[in-house]
Amino acid sequence: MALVDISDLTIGFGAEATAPPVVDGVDLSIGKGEIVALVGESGSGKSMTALSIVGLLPERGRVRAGQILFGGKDLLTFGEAALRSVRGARIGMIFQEPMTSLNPVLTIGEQLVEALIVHEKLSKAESRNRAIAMLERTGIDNAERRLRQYPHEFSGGMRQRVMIAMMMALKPALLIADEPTTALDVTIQAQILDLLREMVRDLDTSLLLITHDMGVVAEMADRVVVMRDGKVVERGDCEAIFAAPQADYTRRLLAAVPTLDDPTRETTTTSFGPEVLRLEDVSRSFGGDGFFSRQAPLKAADGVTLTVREGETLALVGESGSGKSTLGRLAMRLEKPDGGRVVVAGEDITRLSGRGLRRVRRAIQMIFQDPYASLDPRFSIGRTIAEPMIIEGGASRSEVRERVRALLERAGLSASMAGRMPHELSGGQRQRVAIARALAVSPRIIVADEPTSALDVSVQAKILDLMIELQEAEALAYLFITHDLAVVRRIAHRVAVMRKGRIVELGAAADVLERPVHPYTRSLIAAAPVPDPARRGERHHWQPEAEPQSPDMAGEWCAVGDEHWILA
Amino acid sequence: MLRFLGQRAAMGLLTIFVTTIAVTLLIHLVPGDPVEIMYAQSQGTTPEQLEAMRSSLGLDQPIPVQYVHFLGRLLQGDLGVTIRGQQPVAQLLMQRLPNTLALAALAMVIATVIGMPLGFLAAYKRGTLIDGVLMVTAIAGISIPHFWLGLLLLFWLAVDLGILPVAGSGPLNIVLPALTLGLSNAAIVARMTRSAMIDVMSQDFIRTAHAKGLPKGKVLRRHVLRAGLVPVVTVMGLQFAFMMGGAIVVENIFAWNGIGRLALEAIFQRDYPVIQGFILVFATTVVVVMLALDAVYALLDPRIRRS
Repeated sequence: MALVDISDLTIGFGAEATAPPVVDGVDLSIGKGEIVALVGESGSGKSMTALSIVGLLPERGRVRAGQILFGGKDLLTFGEAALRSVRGARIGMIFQEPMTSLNPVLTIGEQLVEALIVHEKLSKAESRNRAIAMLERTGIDNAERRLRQYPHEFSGGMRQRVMIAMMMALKPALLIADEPTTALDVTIQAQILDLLREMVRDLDTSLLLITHDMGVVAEMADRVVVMRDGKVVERGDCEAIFAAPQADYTRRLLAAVPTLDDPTRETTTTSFGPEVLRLEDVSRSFGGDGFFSRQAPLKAADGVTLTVREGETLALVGESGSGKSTLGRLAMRLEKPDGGRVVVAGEDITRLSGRGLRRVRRAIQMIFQDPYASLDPRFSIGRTIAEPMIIEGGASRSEVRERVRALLERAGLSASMAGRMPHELSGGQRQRVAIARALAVSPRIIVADEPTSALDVSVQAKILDLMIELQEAEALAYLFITHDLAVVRRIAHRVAVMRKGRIVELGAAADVLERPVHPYTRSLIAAAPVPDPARRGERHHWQPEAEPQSPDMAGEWCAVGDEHWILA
Repeated sequence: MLRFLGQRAAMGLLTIFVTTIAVTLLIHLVPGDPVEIMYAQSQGTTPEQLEAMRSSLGLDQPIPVQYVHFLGRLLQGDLGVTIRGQQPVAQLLMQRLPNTLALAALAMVIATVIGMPLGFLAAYKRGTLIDGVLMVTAIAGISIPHFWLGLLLLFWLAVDLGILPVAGSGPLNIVLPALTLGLSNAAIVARMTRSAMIDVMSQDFIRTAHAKGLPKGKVLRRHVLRAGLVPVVTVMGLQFAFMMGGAIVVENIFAWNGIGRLALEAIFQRDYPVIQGFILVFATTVVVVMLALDAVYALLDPRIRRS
């Protein structure tokens, strides 16, 4: 008998008559010790399905029909007290955001032991020992000392380890992990996935893994259940689904996943036009300059030199904190460099300000990561796109209106959308609006900071296609900032790998991705999950001790190939 | 944490410094000649008398010189003498200050003891009838002016029931003014607590706590309350500043001998040294209390305590 057997589960928000269900007749079973991946894009109902198992649906969320059998008993008939004895003890759950999932004002130790005391009636000392053992098991050193620390003293990956230790300490029969690695860097993701797999295997725990990432599915799952719009569209063994997807939707989902095996974009160094952006030995530090500050300043950009030519995409790749976003802001002169020069379209903008800067900014525009936050919610779409033109001046109302219509169509939206408000649009549509706005003043180069990271894979693919099409039509240059190597492969001509404020490797996309030389680049590429279950376990792990440890990462640029350099 | 408090203390000193400048300029910001206004009501003042007053206040000198003199005397604890009666201002203020501090402190305790639990309850019962009733009451509490609430309490508790004295300076006399001040601030504290707690209740870590299977009471006490107190304490400092301001009105209603009452009298009599002294003492008190609350805040929030 399966450990969990969900049948005909239907969940809705508010009154049945008015609101369609968000989960609609879902059947799902999880065997003992099995890893089941629940896959879908945003709004597919995968998280609601998982939350209903532990009775933690958000306010107003109601199970309308169905049953959730856990060890033969229907959890939906349980009262609050009975459910509480299951939560934590028999079913653990870890969440996406390790930065906010732990209480900032309680120590890690307090948070680890409280469930042990409640469920197993252990004494303080016993539960403390168990907590230490669990922390050590999840790979946290100095566990005893770290028990007394607070969440802000742990990195994102470490916090997720703490979450795993906390939830596995009671040896639950089922662990639900809702996008456990989505917020983490790829090298950390690889470690956390390994840890999760190892822990559930050792303790014979079943794992319900909720994810949108087919790479993670291929790495982890025994079985896969694909959801869309609240319904299960396909289920089966992991290998079978990747090898021969049956449902149309699954096929499209898999096709949209960029893989590291796709060919990189054509690069012939001669095909690009003149240089449109040059960063020369640019540096920027944060902190360390306050009157009371005793900390060493953080070097977000440390002597970076880059060029981008007309019609070219330079992808800036790095993990969180590498300084890649700061570099994008420096190129835009949203941030003033401490040293070095920023040259846009042949003009040195390092010292410009006010009107001069505004004039040059026409040549360089930006697209941001979060399409929800980067559009003014009170402006109509048309107004948003028209704004740069209005600021620039010189065009009549009817000219501006005509141009807005043209831009909307160029961005793959209908011209009639000009009157809509941002909240009426989907994430992908909003990102198209952001692109249309960036194009409004006919820039030579666009700085795109993680423009597809907040989007579902199928939408992401379309936005990338649009960007490539626009580039080819207008010889646009892109400085494309991302952490996702698969996206890099799709859009980049050249790649710059950034780490701790410095470029460690720079070269043509094909060279850097297929013949990486710098150990850090190698580790990044090795850590990326491959969306192919047959190649599971081929990943090689980034070992921090294998890192060449020169304290300030000082080094010299060495050419390792044609137009391919590393910092060594 | 010491660095955090050091920064706050430096900010506080700067605030007081700016206040001294404002206080010097104060006399000159009033349109017209201050000395003439002072004597506007008294008949037959000779120009010589005006001139003597001007020079005794130092008003015949350039403003920067006046400021330096003022600062120099201030550093020796000298705030000048009152115009009527020639008493030392510093001494006068220091006599009255403890009364005001006692009033504000008791009112603060009342506001916290009543406001915080009610706010917490309202947050917990969010969207229910209890929440609705509590919040409507709170809005009423905020909207009723001090003088009106004070009079109501006075008629009810002192005149009708006769359980508290109407006015005077015995130990029981503090109860009515403190209640007046405390109740209206309790309403503000309740609303602040409610919104802070609701904010915390929707945080991811509360969901984690529930996912661990902790009993509801434990989630509320350990997780919601501890985290929710941090923002509430931060606003308490501002709250105290309002309380001091409110004290001016309330002290006059109940004839409570605090510095607020002294200040009002001085304003009516255009006794500039007293007004200046009052503003300085008031500002310093608020700065000191804010600093104390910053220390509490730093203790509550480990992100600051351990930095």
